[in-house]
Amino acid sequence: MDERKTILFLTGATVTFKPLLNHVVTPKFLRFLKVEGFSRIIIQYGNEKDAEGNSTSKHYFSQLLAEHNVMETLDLDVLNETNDKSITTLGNLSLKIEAFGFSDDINGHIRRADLVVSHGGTGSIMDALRLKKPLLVVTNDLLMEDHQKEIAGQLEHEGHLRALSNRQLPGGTLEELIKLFVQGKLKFTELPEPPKGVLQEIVNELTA
Amino acid sequence: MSMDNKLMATTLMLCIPCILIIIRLLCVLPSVKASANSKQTKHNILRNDKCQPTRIMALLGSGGHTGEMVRLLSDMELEKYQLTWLVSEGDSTSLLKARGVEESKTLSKAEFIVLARARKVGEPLVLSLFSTLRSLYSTATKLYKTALPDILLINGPGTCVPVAYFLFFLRFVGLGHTRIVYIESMARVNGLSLSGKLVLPICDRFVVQWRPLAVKYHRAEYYGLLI
Repeated sequence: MDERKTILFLTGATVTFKPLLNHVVTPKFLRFLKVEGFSRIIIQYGNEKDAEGNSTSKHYFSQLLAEHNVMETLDLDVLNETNDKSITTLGNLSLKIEAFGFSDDINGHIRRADLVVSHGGTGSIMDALRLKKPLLVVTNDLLMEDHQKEIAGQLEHEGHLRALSNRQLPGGTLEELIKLFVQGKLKFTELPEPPKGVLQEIVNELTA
Repeated sequence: MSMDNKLMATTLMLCIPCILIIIRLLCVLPSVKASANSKQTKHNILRNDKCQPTRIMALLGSGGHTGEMVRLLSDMELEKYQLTWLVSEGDSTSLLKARGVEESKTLSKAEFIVLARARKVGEPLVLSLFSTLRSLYSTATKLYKTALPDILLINGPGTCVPVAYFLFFLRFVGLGHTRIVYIESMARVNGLSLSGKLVLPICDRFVVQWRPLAVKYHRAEYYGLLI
């Protein structure tokens, strides 16, 4: 088994996806990932801001680290932090956790990942699928009038990803799917490329 | 007798404007025209001089809508057009994404129009009615001050509805010429969004990204997932 795999968590750029973070940022889950061979864990925790412009997502993430004693339990140090504190790298010799709220180069992170676990937003889903990455989608039941389930369900039906809801997190569904992925038992069908120039053609026709 | 005459006169006075409005609506409503000469409209002559570049106005709604719009635009020859962005107030992420599109296409900086938000997620209905009206007013004044676009591109956020209706209204009264293109969010698989339902009759082209929607709505065009 390759011991140097990378897993990427995308929680969206707006509202903090608390149920997923609650599940992921715990010593138990992070240790599980390490056991499954993920020595590099990248967590995009969200970009929600309060009225003063402070990142409430980052605050929430730090709070979870402290609450669950993640640093002490897993023997992690702060390896690096960018000057503006936008990217934090935690780790030790065998595990590296990179965390940030938002990235200009999310595609770069996706390219480096072996497995992507994403929230149900169409942006993150399509970013991962267009780069042909194995994708697990955790939909958020707390959102009102949202269609995450509809889109994730449809794409799962077509075999492009595997979907679960945040309600299934405590039951260990995410862990089961990650195990299946590591064992090579998750099979995905590639999403066909989008047709080229459809909108361009429509605009051409309207302005001809 | 004179009573009868008066009644007749009032009836006429009331009816004639109504009939005129209906005739005008029949002339400009894309949903009516579309059924007459299929999906291709024949009256495509724009007000603009041919030497002037086509003006495209693209609305960036926030979050997922912005992401989809940016992806859709990345597949267009934007350098041929005069581009104007419409963004909601306080939406700095969309502003950044818009700049990103300009940089990737090496476009000169496009014009920005900032709109009041139509409705915050989870806002009570009564309050949202008030903020919709405020948004409509702010939209109207801001749009009227700029050169009207030839094409309006929208994809479903709440703010797109007042914008589309205002530009359609201007065309209705003969002051505008904007053609409206709507691309439904890919998150809509089996049913249109509220915005989609509201603007369907006034859009010149209406694109959906899943087949069930194209089956359900005869004016909807389907080409597969576009983003």
